[in-house]
Amino acid sequence: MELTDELLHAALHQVMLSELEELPSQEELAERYPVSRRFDRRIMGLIREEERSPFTSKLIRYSKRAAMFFLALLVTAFTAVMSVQAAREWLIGIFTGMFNTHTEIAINQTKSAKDQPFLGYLPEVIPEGYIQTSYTVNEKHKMSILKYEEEDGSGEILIRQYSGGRLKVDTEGARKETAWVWGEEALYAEKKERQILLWTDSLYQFYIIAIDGELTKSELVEIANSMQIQVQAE
Amino acid sequence: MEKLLATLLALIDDEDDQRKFEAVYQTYKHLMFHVSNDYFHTQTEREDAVQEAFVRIIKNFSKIGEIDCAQTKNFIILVMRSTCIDLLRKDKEEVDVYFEDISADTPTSSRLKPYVEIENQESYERLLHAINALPQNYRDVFMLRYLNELSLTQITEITGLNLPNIKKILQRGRKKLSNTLKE
Repeated sequence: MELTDELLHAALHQVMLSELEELPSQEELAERYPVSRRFDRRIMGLIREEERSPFTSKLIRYSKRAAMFFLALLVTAFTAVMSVQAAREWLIGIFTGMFNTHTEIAINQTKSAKDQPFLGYLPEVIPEGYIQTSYTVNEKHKMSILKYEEEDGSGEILIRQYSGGRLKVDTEGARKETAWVWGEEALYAEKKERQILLWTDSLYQFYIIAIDGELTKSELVEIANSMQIQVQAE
Repeated sequence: MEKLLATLLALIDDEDDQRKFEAVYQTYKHLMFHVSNDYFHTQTEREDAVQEAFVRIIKNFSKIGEIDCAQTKNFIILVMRSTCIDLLRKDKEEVDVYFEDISADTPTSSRLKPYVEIENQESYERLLHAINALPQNYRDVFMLRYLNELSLTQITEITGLNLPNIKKILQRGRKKLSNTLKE
């Protein structure tokens, strides 16, 4: 049987009805989740704002902003007079947590690090028989995606680079090991025929996913260690 | 009170739309809090999530037909759940990494017909089971696409996921479901 859009629509509709049947009744919901009149008024205000003319909306919005600005100015002036200015320190930390089903690697960046332009990394070493099929850089979200495919189509490698935040990988059922990239601890995991290597430096997070089954952990680590800044995103 | 109401109504461009917005809110507000309860622990967070979800619902109001029907109810749940996940994601700046993170291109969907004949009941049951086994975010994206017939751009606005992610979810999910039918 082929998965047509019609079949998918019918099946999803049936799943939807089943899920809705499991919900509590309207009366039960109203009893469990009473909504305050204050919140009701907040939503009604939202509805009215959606319905206002653009001019009226802008006028009200800018009036509120002007009031907030003057209030902030007053508070700042008072604070400056009353307190001593504290020194600001550059803080970058790396945190790795191990959980039963998920493993996380996170880096905490200062705001100034996040404001830096995105610098794309490319590997100098790629396993024999692989060719690059695409490279995409997204400056707005400060990330890149690099793909390689084996010439006979049997294997694929995906390399992603992100700026800041936290990487979380589902490692349930996966074999996990420590690896070393750029002198720092990295996470290597294998699950069925797929392998993942995650690592980070002070500015970026990286991960490689390989679908091959024949690449070794050492080969992935070699790829990671060979990554160099090649491209400055425009 | 009546004077206040009249003043407020005078600001409205389309009274029918306003009544419909209010009706949707009054009908589903408790349900929205019920959904947000799975993701947030304080009333303030839940209220913020419900408000944000309602903004997204208003922006996609053309997708709401009859207010009190299963399709609308499901749409409200999908938007509420997607909003909660999006807010949590933005708050944590978290990126989920999946082992199945390499996609393949698949054809786009065709026009839907109102009736479909089930050729093989056993395969269809497997398909239902496979849909239920999909991750929640996959199921939600599929429903928004195939039940609510939202465009990919509209789905990105509701879920907060970017376009490549939405495409990947649809491609990978469809591939999984197709494989189920071929077993």
